[in-house]
Amino acid sequence: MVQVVHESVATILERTSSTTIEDWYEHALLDARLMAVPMSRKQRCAHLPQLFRDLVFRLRSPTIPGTKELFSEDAAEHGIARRKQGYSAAMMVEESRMLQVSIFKSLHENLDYIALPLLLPDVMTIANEVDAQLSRAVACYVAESPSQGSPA
Amino acid sequence: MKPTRILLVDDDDLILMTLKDVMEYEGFEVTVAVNVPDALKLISSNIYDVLLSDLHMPDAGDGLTVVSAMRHANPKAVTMLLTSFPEMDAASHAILLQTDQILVKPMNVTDLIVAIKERLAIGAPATRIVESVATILERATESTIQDWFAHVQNDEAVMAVAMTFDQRTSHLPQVFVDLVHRLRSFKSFGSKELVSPAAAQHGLDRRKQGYSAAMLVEESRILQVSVFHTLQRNLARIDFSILLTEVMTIADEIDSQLAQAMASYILESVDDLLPA
Repeated sequence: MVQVVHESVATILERTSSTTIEDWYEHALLDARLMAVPMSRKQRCAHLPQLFRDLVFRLRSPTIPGTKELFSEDAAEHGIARRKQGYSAAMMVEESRMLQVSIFKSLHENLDYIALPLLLPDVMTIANEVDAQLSRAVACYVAESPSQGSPA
Repeated sequence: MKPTRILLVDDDDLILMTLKDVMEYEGFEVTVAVNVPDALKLISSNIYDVLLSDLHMPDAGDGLTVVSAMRHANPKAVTMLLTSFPEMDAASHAILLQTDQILVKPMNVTDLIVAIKERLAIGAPATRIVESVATILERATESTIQDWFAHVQNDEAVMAVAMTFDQRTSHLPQVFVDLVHRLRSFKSFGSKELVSPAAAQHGLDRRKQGYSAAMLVEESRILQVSVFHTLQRNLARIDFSILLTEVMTIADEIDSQLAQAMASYILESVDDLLPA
């Protein structure tokens, strides 16, 4: 029997965060709408290392799926920064969706190292946390300019 | 009396042949498979009373694929998984939803034979109903929408916009139709091929109803949570070997619909296209 070294999803995300960010950036480069807002790679990816730290922290915290207990100041700052950089809220949503896709790709590439039954709750936590950070970022994005955030 | 027919699956030849010899000596009729494809072929063309499979062959969860195939082909067979993975204790509840027993290595052969005989004595397991995630979502659409609405009612920001139940939830039946379609279409993650006119219309409607972009995002996040709650409530009915991929697909599709809704929401107001 081949001995497989198992890792937690949190550990895999920590280990692969750089390559996942790189994968995300390559996807972002292919999105014409996102690229319509010129930005350096550093500006485009600045929020991601902290987002990964938040994700890892969330995965290692015994919180109930669906809770919003972990309040991220960085997600709020990201929303404000994106507003100033010229993003629309739709671009932020698309960026977040791409991030989730890149994270899931990384997990798929590391399935050999993950105990499958342990993975399901972690995947749900990741999906929830990425959306929670997006929710927070968009709220701050909207608050930054009430006239633009208010509906017609 | 007919001998008990057992299918042994393990990628370690030595373990496989040792177990085969001992079990034949004990009166079992033994067939062996050294990998998942061989096991699946045997399961589809023969009838077995017992499946004893390694969990990792070599990929994590390979044994679950074999168990799943046996459950579909012959629900009356006893299924047992062997694992040397210490964390399986923590995961055993989830795995037990799929198989009848987990045996942790190292285990001496005598104990293994006793475990198999005891399990056979209990008799055939109750037939388990296995459903696809798409079928579960179809069946549980109404209850999931109710769960979602209950969560939304606890969100002060969203509830600040007064709306009837029908107005609040009118988009959701179509979201579920789209989700089910996506799950059955096997599109890859990140695929944007499945365009939803309903999602775009939802963005326009929410704008007119008075939602902010942040509310739209929050509502979508709550929907994802409710869908995951539904899956957790139905875990015993789900084919575990494909569940992970389907959960990822659901998360991707809900975000894809949000992206489409947000795009039309913003198009409704030129202001939003012009950030500060």
